[in-house]
Amino acid sequence: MGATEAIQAQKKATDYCTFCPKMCRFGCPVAEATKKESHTPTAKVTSLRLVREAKVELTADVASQFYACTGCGQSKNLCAHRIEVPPQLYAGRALAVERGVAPTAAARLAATLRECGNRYGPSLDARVGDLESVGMKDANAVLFVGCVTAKYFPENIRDSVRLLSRIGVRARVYRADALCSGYPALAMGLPEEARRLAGIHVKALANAGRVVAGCPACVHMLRNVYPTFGVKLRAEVFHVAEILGERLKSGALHIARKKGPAILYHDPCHLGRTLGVYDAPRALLSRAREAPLLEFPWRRRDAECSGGGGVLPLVMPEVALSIARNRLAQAPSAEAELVTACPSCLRMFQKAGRPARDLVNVLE
Amino acid sequence: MDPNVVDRLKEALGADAVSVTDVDRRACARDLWPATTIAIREGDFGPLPDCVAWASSEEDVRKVLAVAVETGTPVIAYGGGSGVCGGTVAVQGGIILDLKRMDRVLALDAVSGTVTAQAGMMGERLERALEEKGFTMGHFPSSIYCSTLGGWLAARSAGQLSTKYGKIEDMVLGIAAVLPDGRVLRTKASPRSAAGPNWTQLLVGSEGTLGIITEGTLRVCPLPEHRAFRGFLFSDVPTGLDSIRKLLQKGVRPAAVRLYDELDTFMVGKKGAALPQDEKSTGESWSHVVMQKAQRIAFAHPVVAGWLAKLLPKECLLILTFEGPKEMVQVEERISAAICAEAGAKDIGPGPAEYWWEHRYKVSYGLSAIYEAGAFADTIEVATTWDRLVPLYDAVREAIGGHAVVLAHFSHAYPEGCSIYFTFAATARGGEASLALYNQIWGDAMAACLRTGATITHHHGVGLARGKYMAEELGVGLDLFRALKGVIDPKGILNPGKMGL
Repeated sequence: MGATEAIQAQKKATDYCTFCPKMCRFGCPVAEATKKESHTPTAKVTSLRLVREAKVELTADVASQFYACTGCGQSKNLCAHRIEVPPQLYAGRALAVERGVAPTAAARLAATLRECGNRYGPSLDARVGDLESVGMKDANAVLFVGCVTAKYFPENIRDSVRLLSRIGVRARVYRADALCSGYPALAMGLPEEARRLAGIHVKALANAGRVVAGCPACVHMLRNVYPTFGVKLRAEVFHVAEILGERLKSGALHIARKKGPAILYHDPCHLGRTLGVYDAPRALLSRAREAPLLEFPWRRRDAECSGGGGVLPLVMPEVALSIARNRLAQAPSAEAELVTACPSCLRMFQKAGRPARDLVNVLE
Repeated sequence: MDPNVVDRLKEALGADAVSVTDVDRRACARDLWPATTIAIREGDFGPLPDCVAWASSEEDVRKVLAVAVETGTPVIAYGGGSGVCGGTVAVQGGIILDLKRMDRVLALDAVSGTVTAQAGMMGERLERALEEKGFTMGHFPSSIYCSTLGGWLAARSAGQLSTKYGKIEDMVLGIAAVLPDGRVLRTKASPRSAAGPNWTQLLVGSEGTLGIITEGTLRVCPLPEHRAFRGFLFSDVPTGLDSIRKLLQKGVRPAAVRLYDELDTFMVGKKGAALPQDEKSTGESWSHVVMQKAQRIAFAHPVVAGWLAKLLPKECLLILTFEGPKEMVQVEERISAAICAEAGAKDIGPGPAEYWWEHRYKVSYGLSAIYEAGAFADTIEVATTWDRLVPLYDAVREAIGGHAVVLAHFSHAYPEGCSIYFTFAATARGGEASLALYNQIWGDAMAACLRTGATITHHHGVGLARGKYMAEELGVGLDLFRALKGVIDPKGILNPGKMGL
């Protein structure tokens, strides 16, 4: 499906958003960070409709509106019609790429993904090669590493493998012709590249018993988006918090309660709103410390984005950073240990000056 | 616009606080006035502002006004752009002064029960920030997700619990507003004062025509410890209104009071009502699809819909909610139930009111479906004293029932009178015909309202939509308003073309 068809396929959603009295606007992290009316979901989708109806030209400026979205899903959470804004804007981004008015980051990402299969370049592939030895022999599962984890948080790979082994999941570190699940490609408006990557993984994971990933966006791609491309993984796909949470519930996982600072948990958008995983990380983390688990005032379904999604850090790094700062400003405690379960959130918090730890680091 | 304005604004505010891009100008060209929604459906965004400027402080606002005064450039204060009367439409171009970067709570005085916050704070964010600390403003306009404190003050907003907590003008103790000459009107946040006319109230409702409101101090209340919900069915509108009047005049203050007329009762349905199954056979038992089809037919043939409405069961739903200390709530519930029973109303339990509370912003989402279907809808909220309320209800329905499907509910009730919230929906071929019909409906409704002696707006304000009715509404008052405007804003830069000035 080309970009124009993808936009047409969402016609009703686009019309609804255009005529909506801005009911999700207060929840949009981008609009909250920039305070621009043009960044409200209503305004962004209205522009998409005007482009669709050929009432305005798709200029670089209009395209920049389509890129002003982290894909956090707060809009759907606040919508009585359960309309999803990001897929509409991603279709708009694809049209911007087709017409050559997308931000330069799009072409850069396209080239890197095509050449290296990951978003950071050739050195990352070598690093994953080094990490292969971390994996278990006689594996019965695959650990899908993901680009951000490999680049910035390789220790999460070790911790995940070790934790999983405690519940009988013997994971090998996955390495194929590509590392990227295709999420940044899809979000950047490069759906064909996302499809290509999906094809690689579906083939390479044909015999994987079970796939576990630490990146919620990768799980979303593998589990939910690939089938929309017409390809489907045979293996079941889990986020590491999901599988650990299940085993904790069944009594198969024991976590030793430790002294230490209280933990403050941040819900990653794709783990929470997209995959619906709210309780598992909380159950796991509550067992890890003697101090009670702390919460952000806006949490679970209402949790605010860290700024790391939707390739916003690639196209509008300053805005992404403000979003992270806004989220951190809501933290109820400055001393608590900030913990989350998504490498993109970790990265954003690190950039905003309050380093966080992944759930797998804490449980280990 | 003077070509130097943008450079001067950039110099004053910083380059990232001023935009001349088409996307920013287009996004601010429109508010939620249905006339602008009808236009955008056709791809027409109406007059564009020349630029958008973001103020982060009172000082920034002063700088923008200084440039505007010197160059004679219009300035339109902009918050969430959620107004429904075109109050922020840049009819003469100029500067959209976006205040959303002024978005902090400045002080919460738990002892006095007041909050001071900046004008650009989104309503829902302000309310959530208060609730975290154990307070509420009790202000729940259906626009709370998309409107700002400044907008509430500038347009005399009302929330759904206004009967208990009051409208925004009842909550505000003091404001700060920047005037075109750079002075800041800072009114004292005192509970009451006898130091002459009330300058806070003069700016409240001035819709950006007299000054730019930058902050407000408002009453907050402790979060209610108890909430109760009641529902009653009345045989007709006058009987229901009479009971509302009696319970208010007796001193009962429900949080929400909503009496739906027969057609609105049918549309709303009696979800959750404690009724035998065969008595529930109104709107809710219709399948969604049938309902939508019926609505489309109704839009196309409002007269037919009017006949059909006459066939509806003679029942009007009243929902009441109460909140506060449990003992007080229980007394209020008991008195209200007794008054309703005396009027012959059927007590249908808490269900419908609970359902309404859970879905209280639902109606706003419904607009999308109506506009997507090619129709249009709007609301007209007027108010009057009890003695004229039924004549007002009859007159407006009579005036516009030939062009549109009209529903009404009575909410925002006071001991002396009540507001009527008319919802109308209609359809016409194409944008031009739709706008013509839309304007005709408004004209007829306003004329009926003025004939009855009611006020033309209870809480949506004036903007562009009601400007031409202001002379009749205010009489000599409009002369005074104009004279005052001439003194405060002699160059006429503040939101020109609005409020009938």
